This record gives sequence, C-alpha cells and structure tokens, in this order.
Amino acid sequence: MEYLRRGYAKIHIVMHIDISRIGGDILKSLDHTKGAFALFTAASKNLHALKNPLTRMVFYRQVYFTGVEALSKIAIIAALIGIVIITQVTSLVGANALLTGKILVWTVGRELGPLLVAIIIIARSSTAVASELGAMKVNREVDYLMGMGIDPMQYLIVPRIVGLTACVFILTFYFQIIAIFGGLALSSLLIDLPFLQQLRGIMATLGLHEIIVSLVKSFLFGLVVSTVSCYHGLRVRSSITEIPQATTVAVMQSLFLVFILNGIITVLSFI
Amino acid sequence: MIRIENVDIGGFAGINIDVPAGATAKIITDSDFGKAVLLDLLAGIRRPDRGNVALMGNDIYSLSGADAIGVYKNVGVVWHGGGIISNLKVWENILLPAMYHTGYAPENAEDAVRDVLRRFNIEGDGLERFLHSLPGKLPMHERLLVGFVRVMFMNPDIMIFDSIFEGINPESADALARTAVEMRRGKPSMTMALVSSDEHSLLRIKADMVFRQKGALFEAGKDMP
Repeated sequence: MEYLRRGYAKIHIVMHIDISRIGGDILKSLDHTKGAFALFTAASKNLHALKNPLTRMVFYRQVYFTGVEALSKIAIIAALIGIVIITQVTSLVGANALLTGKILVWTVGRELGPLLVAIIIIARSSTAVASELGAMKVNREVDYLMGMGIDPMQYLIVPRIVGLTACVFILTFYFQIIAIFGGLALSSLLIDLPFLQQLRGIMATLGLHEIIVSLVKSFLFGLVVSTVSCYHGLRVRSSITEIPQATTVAVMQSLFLVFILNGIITVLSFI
Repeated sequence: MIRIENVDIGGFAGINIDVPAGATAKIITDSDFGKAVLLDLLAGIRRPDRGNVALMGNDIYSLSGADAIGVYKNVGVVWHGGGIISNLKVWENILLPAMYHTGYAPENAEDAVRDVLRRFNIEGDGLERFLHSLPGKLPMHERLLVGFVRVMFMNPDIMIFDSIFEGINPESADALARTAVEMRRGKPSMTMALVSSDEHSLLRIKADMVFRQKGALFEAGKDMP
C-alpha cells in the first residue's frame, strides 16, 4: 500500500513538473516568436541596405548556398515525390488521367511543394545561418562590425532574410514544376498513362487560386524560417555550447511555425 | 577628440579622460580585465552605468543605435586579435569598412592592399597566399596586421589601439609603430589612443599624455622617457 502511495506521489510530482514545464515552454516559445517578429520589423525597416554592394555580396552568397547548392537535391526529391503520388493514385483508382492530375496539383501545388521545400531549407540553411551567426556572436565579430561603423542589422541580417526568403519562394516553384512534369514524364513511361492526357487533367485543375496560395505560403515560410534562424543565432551570447542549443531551437521553432502557418493558410483558402 | 566624463563601469568609478583632437594618449590599466572594459566602452559596445563618452563631440551612448554606429565610420579600433571577421578572406577583411562606407572598387582596392602590405615585408607568393586565405589560422602578428591595415584604409579621425605591440615579434612591432607614426603625421588632426595594461610595451610611440589607472580612477601624467 505504502509502495503504491509513493508511486502515485511520484507520478503526481512528475506530472506536475511536466505540466509546469509545458507551460514554461509555451511562454518561452511565445517570447521567441515576439523577439523574432521584432527582428523582422527592424530588418524590414533596413531593406535599403541592399543598395550597398557589400551587403549585396552577402545576399548573393546566401542565395548561392541556400538556393543554387540545393537545386540538385530538391530536383531529385521533387521527381521522386511526383512519381510516388502518381503511382499511389494509379494503384488506388486505376489509370484515370484527370483524377491523377487533380491529386497531383492538390498535393504538390497546395501542400507538399511549399512544405517540403521549407523543411529542406530548414534542414540545410536554417541550421547554417543560426550556427554561423552564433559563432560570430561568440567570437565578438558582431561587436567588431559595430566598431567599424557597420550596422549588423544591415550587413548580416537583411541579406540573410531576403536571400533565404527569395530562395524558398523560387525553390518552391522549381520543386512544383519538377514534381509535376517529372512525375508525369516518368509515369507515362512506367505506367499506362499518356503524358498529354495527364497534362490536360492538370491544366483543368490548376487555377489562379492554387498558384496564389502556393506563392503566399512559400513567401511566408521563407520569411519565418529566415527570421527565426537569424533571431536564434543572434541570441547566442558568449559560450560556444550555446550554438548547438540555438540551432536546435531555431529548427524546432521554424518547423513549428511553418506547420501552424500552413494549417492556417490552408483552412482560410480552401474552406 | 575622446572625452570620458564621470563614468562608472565594471570596477571603475567616476573616471575622467580627455584627449584633445590631434593628441596621442596612452591609457594604462592595472589589468587586462580593466583594459577590456575600457576598450568596450570606447568601442560603443558596453554602456556605462553612469557618465558620458564622447567621440569627436558625439555622446555615443545617448545617440540612437544607428547614429552611434555611424560615428564609428570615423573611428578605427585595432583590436589585439585583429578584430577579424572569420568568414571573409584577408583582403575582404582589410577592405570591409572602407568599401562599405565609400564603395571602393574591389579591382583597384586589392592593388592598394598589396602596396601597403609590401611595407610589412609580405611579398610575392606569400602576399597572394596571405590575401586569399581565410583568417582562422593566421598567427597573432598577421591578425594584428590585418586589423591595423584595415584601419589605415579607413583613414579615421580617431585611432584606438588595443595592446598593439604585445605578443608579436620586435620587427613587426617596429613596422607597426613606424606606420602608425607616419599615419599620424599624414593627418595631424587624428587623435590616437593606445590602451594597454603594460606601459613598457608602448614605448615605441611617444605620447602627449598618459592616463594611468589608480584604483577605480585614472590619473593624468607624462609619458615615460
């Protein structure tokens, strides 16, 4: 009996700790979101910094590392996603070109395109941005920039936010084109579904609304991922052990916010 | 002109330092910690608990963030470790503030950097390797040189040196001192502050005034002969 009582007491304590921890985590998360929003506001007031050739150089570097270097990986993932969706739909409903096209547009265009690209960019570039800025903070390089009369907001943050956002936006479009056309091309070779017939199905489904929703999603995902990564990188103070922590939080918060935004936009757009 | 008025910060209380425009001053602290606090204060990084810090007549801690950063376009700080940006190559590090503020064309600028570095006996293949290397593994004297040459290209109104002659060989120290004195002669209105915790390390440069730490304050005095 005593043993059971102690067991219950232990469970009670653990539950209490966990609940208070969850509350604390939510508050912390809200605090981070507020901080990231403040950073975004400050960055948006400094967009003119891109007129400076050296700031543009940082922007080009960001576009190269986030966009150009990711092209091949995104192409492979997009083509595979296209093929998988067409194969699954065909196995469910048979060789129905119109329905296959519709489902491809719905899944890749509306949901998977922006979402998967955002996830890939979070994995590749969000971590890189947060850890690079964190290391710069630890090495006092942000202080050195200020000591040279260079505003870190203008030189470090603005080009990274604009570069990452532009990359997510363009890569989403690139992902969707490859997923749809790559999927169609391969499925017309492997499955008995004529390419043109499937294309007609897609064109019948694809409307301006789908395109706009997809563009809005990719733009907002890009803004969220870039701002959150920069914010957590700058949060590092003086210890090198803070860098992996900041990177992990940046990834988790980016993912969380991207999924929340995706849900909100989908509900608002298609209900 | 550098003016620190009634400043309380990290172990200092009520410090007053006044270096008029065109003067060279040495500021000697009791410890490296005190030196770091004072340099951060002058570099606009660490706000004092009380008092004012004015550079060229601008009270930097009462200005807005962007305006305060703007003052530092004309202030060159040569940090002991060079104050290097690790993801930029040496030539990019050297030209960063000058190009950022003036829009120096990179093709002409690289030649200008080569000319200056030859004064420090860096020539030929070594010069090219040096210019195009990332600064992470550079030895101390080369890091310091990068920081120093960077400030030369800024041609600032105020130069602040952080233990500039410490941890480097005598030849490099002599070359740095000669160049600093030449710069000073080339721009008589330039104010120069040499901050260190080791007064003997600064003997290569003659100062108009010396501020030595005495407890929580600084006392003005004359340079060592």
